[in-house]
Amino acid sequence: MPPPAKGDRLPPADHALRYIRKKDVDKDTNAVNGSGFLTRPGEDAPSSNWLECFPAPLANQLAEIRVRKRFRYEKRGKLVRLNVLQTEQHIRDNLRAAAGHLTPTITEVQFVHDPLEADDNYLADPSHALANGTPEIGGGPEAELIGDLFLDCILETVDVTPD
Amino acid sequence: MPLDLPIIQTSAAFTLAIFEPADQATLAILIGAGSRPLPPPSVHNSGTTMLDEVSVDPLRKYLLEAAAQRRLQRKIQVQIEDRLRELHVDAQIAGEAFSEASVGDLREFIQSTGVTKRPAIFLLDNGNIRALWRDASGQQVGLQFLGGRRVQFVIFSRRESPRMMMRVAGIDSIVETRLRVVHDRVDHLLRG
Repeated sequence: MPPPAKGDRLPPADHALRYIRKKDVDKDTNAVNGSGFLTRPGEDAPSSNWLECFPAPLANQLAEIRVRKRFRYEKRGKLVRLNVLQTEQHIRDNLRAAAGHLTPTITEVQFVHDPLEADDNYLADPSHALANGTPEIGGGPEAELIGDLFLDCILETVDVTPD
Repeated sequence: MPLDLPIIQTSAAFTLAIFEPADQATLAILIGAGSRPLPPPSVHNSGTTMLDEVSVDPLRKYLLEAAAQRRLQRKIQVQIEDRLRELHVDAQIAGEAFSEASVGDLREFIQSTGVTKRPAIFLLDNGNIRALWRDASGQQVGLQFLGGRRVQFVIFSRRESPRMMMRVAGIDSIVETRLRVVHDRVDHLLRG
């Protein structure tokens, strides 16, 4: 199966890695807030990394992603691993179920490939992906519900070594 | 004409009114501590009072358990205040918004609900506080305090027949949100 081109959906069986800012982590309970998955002001969609873009094991994938990232890992920030299909489906199914008491404005959340080219400051990042359709932080009850549906799909949480 | 009332042999006649749980000093008076000093209640990590000698006296047991519960609530409130202070300092350093109205609503909810389990607490980009209680099965109570005694809630509650997870989100008053948490049978998430 050929690798996805820019704008293609990530392979459903593969995984996305999302960085969670320390602001979205309670340092005492280690709990993550759903807002950590939502679109921040000024973003088109939340960024993530397509894990299988790099060869396993996970340690190698994390190292490849680390050298290509374009932001700082904070002390107490986290990385969370999500399955692509499971996450997209979980959000779609449950938004539909919640339609009785909400007016869903979000059609679907989809992970799409968005490789970044190298520039003067950064290496190329062929693993970069976007979670299109994810609502913005502060988008009301529906947005907050979607953030918390992401929490249901976390397969693994990894502590980061801060920069 | 004097009333001719039958004597009813029931313990209810001797039951004290149930009122706000007393502190240690008041308990001593209530239970007649003049005869013997009241031992400090032993409390398990879970917050459950473990007392052998009071198991035969329901009133004494109730009062001691209530006192232990109050102590646990105060302990959680201190932890919550510590976390709020930390978030406030972080916000000041970063020049970010921090809503005192939201904090006030959180305090009101915590005190009126008798929370004995510390929630995860987050400062959102809009300056509001969000409290999140969530268990391993995915049930949750997530409350963003909007100020003006309004709450944006996201509740996930397990149902048994049929087996499913009910998910609901919306905005309501603090009072109605508290009732909803009980109605959706997720109030146990708020208790240690």
